[in-house]
Parts: sequence; C-alpha cells; structure tokens
Amino acid sequence: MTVAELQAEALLTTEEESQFVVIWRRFIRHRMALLGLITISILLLCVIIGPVFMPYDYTDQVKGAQRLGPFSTDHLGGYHVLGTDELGRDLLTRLLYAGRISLAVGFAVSFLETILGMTVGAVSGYYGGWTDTIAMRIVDLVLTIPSLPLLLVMSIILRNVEIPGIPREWTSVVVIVVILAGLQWTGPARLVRGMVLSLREQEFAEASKALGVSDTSIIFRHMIPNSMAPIIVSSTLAVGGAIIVESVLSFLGFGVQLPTPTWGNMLSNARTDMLMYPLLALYPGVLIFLAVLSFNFAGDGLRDAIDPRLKM
Amino acid sequence: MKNDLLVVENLVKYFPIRGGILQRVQNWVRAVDNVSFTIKKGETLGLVGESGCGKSTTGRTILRLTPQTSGKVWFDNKDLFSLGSSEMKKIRRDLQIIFQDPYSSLDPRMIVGESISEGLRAHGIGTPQERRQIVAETLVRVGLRAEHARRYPHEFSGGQRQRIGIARALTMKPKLIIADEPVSALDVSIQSTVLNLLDELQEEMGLTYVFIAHDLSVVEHISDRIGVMYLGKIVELAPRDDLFNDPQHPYTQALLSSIPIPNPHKRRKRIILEGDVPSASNPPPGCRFHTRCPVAVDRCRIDMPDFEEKIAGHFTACHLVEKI
Repeated sequence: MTVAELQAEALLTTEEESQFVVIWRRFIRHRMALLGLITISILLLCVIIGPVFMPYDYTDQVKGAQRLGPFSTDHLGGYHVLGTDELGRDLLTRLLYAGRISLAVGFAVSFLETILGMTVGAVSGYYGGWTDTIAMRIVDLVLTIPSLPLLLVMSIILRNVEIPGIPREWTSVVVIVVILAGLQWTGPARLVRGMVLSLREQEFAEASKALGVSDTSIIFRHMIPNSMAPIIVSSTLAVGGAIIVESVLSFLGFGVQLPTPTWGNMLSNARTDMLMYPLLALYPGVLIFLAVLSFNFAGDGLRDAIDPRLKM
Repeated sequence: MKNDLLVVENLVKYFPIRGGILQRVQNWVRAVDNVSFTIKKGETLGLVGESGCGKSTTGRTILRLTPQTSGKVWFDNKDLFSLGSSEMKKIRRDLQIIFQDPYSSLDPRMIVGESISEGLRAHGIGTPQERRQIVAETLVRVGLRAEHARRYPHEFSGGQRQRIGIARALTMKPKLIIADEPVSALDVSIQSTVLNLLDELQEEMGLTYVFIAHDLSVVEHISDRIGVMYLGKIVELAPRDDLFNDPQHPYTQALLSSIPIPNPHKRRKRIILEGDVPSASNPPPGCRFHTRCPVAVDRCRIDMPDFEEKIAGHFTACHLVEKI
C-alpha cells in the first residue's frame, strides 16, 4: 500500500467518538507537549487578565525612576516587581501588554494564513488541471520571495497607512499580521492540496457529485472537514513561527511601532544598554523563547497524537 | 427506442498516459471501446467481466462522473452528454449510483443522516424537518432504524453501510440506478440480503438497474439480460437464460465453465484460458480475445468482429458464430 492509501485508510477507520479521548491520551503521554500546553495556558491567562490588576498603564512614566532593579520602590512610592525601563515605565505592565500584542499577532497570523491556505489548497487540489497548475506556481513564486527584505520594504511603505476604523496605534499591528499571513499561507495550501488530491478520489466525493451536490459544497462539507487533523497541527506550529518573525521584525525596528509594546520591540529597546542592564533584555527574550518553544512542543505533540505517520 | 430508458451508443472512454519531460500524451488506455446497449424501463442489465475490463468506467462515464471520449448516451430520450450543467443537475435526481466499497463511499466525518439527505439539500427539496422525515423513512425502508441517522459510518457493519449507500440513492427517487459491484465487498450471507433488498425495491419503485459485477452467480440472480465485457468491449449480450444455457462467445463459454457446481459427483468440462488479459493500452489487433481464444482462426487476428444480433435478442462479437 502506498502512503496515501494508508493515510486514507487511517482516516476512515479511526473511531470518531472516542477519537478525542484517544488523541488526548496520546497527547498527554508526550510530556513536553503537555508542558507546552500548560505554559501557553498560563501565558494567555496572564496577558489577558494580568494587566487589569496592574496599577500602571503601559505608557505611564515615572520621572527620575529609570531603570530601577527588581523589587524596587520609586520615589513616589510606586512598587515595581520587575523594575522599570529606560523611560521609567513599569516593566511587568509593559511585558504583559506586549504579550497581548505578540500572542495576538501569533494567533491572528496563524488564523489568516490557515484560512487562506486552506481555501487555495482545497480549490487547487479539487479542480486540478489548470487551476491547480496556476495556484501551485503562485505558491512557488511566493516561496521564492526572500521574506526578510520584502517585510522590511513593505512595513516601511505601509507604516503610515491609515486604516479606517482602526486606532492609530493598532495600524502597525494589523499591517504586520497581513504581511506575515500573506507570506506564510503557502504551507497550509500545499498541505491541504495534498490531502484533497487523495480525498477527491474517494467514492464519497463521487457519490456527492452523482447526487448533484455543488463543487463548493463538496469542498467545504467533505474535503476540508476530512483534512482538519493536519490543518490543526500546522496552525498550532504557525503561531510560534509568527511570534518569532514578528519579534525579529520589531527587533529590527520595522515591526509593531512604539509606544505599542511587543516582546520584540522591548528587546530592541533594551539593546542599547544591554551590558549595563541585561535584565531589560532578558525578560522579553525569555518570554519569546518560552512562548515559541511551547507552541512548537504542543504542535509536535499534537501531530504525534493525531497521526504518528504525519511528518511536516 | 420508446421503451428504452437508457440507450448507450458507441461509448468510448480513453485515459491518456502522459510521459516525458513535457508530459505529452504518449498512449491511451482504451478502458471502454465502442460499447453499445439499451435498457428498458424496469429491467436489470448485468454487466460482467474480469477486473479492469471497463465495467465500472462504463457506469461512471454514463453518469458523467468522468468525461467521455466519444459516443452518445440517451436517458429518457435526452442526450446526456449535451446537457448544460443546470439541466444535468436536474437529471441527476433520476440517475443514481451505488458503490462497491461501503467503507469509502460514506464520508467518515459526516453523520449518516447528513450523508443521506445531501442530495435533497442540494436540490432544495423539503424543509429540514421534512428531510429528516424522508431520511427516517428511507432508513426504515432499507432495513435500518430511524435513529441510525445520528450515527457515524464507522458504527456500522459493511452490509449496513451498503444499505446506507442504497438509502442515499433512494431519497432522490431515481429511475435508474447504476449498481457498481454493490455486493462484491460483502460476505456471502450479507450479499443475498442486500440483493433481495435491491429486488424488492425494484418492484416497489419501478427501478431500472445497471448491475455491474464480476460474480456470475450474483448477476444470474438479479439480471434480466446480461452483457459480458472483455478488454473494454461487450463481447456478448443476451437474455439471462439464453446466455447461461447457450453461450455463443468462446470467452463467455470459458467464463461459465468456471462456475463451480455444488455437487462433488458432477464434473463440468472446464475451459482453462491461457495467459493474461492483454494491456488495455496496447490491445491486440483483430478480435481482442484472439490471444487467449481456444478456437481462434487466422481471420480473428486481423479482423475486428462486429457486435451483431446473431440470434434474435442475442448479440455476439465473434467471427465463428453463425448469424441465424
């Protein structure tokens, strides 16, 4: 049997009801994956509700209280658990807000690229022929674009764009999300195309056709639901990838613009006095590291749990 | 022509073999080569033949699940291959198919009720409640229970799934059902119950079947007329009893002699064919069967025999069969 046949068979013989239980059991056996999932949950919890409990805003500056160390109190009596940055802003507050942005960028990019890639891949694989050839050549083209130079150019061009209905400080976030998703949808597109190529040959697809079901319905009601397992895995891994790229861009100064904090631009700001005040760089660095590592472990574990033969 | 529900005329389906760096067509697989037959309303036509002889491709091409190379198909006096997509969609209600593999013919991620009512949804028939009602009735009709609609395919046995496949075709109230080896994947005890169900449904709903199979005893049980296919062509087409009692074509004779007799004291003279079926991408010249035919003469290697009505109602494609 070929790999495709084995995969198809695995898809068809998996037990539907107990599938969640089986996947969950296999997932928690994967220690690092479970640890990743727990870390992600804690991070999410902190950045979502954490800022509510902070007495400061991420723009509040205390003059004369720059670069305080951890566990210090400024001359106005404010307590700073992790200290303050070079403008006297509370570090923990900024880290939490930055986490909101960084994680939101990660999830948004992953969501957008998955939706876009899934649609292109499913249509391409289902219709085949010229549609497929053209779509796949576009994918090849996008893959050949060196992403970093393009990202730099694009973010400079789009930096001052006004997007109606979106607050000024959010425009750079939206721009980054769109650019990243626009470059990374090719992965899910290829993945889904491959799945659909084998699924469309299954008799249930022919049966639907014989019943007079429209192509759109077959794609969205049969092809995509049956390719869900690898899509979930790839979108989990994509979150981590997007966080990394966003911090690289922000580190280079072309990502999300100040004063909106992200882990990437906080790292970038800390760079100037890195030797004197290494903690300013350490905090966002460690958080990026933790978040990306967790998503990668969780994604790996999920892949092994859903289909051990699936390699991406 | 008036009583004929389906008329297939010179149906041809070639699949291209592509190769080389430019992916040019280098050769063709002649899966179905000049196949013609007619089916009357309420009749069952059995199509038999060994693997790869083009039986299933014939069925799929008639339904326009795969595009034809040439030929014509009339269904209900409408030329199927010239219909636009909206007319074709309408006519699909009358033309249904039951598949061989009960495992891959149902979407594993869709509850059975959804699968069965998919055609109704696509054609905008009934409200959701009415559709649920139709699904429940159809499930009961094929010998399952109404509450099975909420389950997933993996919760059923092969025979039950095949019944679900039949139910899916039935909801459309079709005139013609192409049954593509509907019992080949089932074990013998289940085969007969499914065959009986198909028989009953035919009587009740006035269905017409094209019944594709490789098992002669199954075909004998259900068919009114039988067509024998070999390498993309029909070599013999006759009413069931004529074919079984008086096979004309040497291939049919060999095929029938292979049916075991359930009596250890009786022996039938078996005709053992030598060699394999030639490749459909490079079929032999003349009669396609001459390479394995025990009685072939020189003419068979050059001349392609016509498919003629040698005896009234009994068509054969063989030089050696005299026309009466």
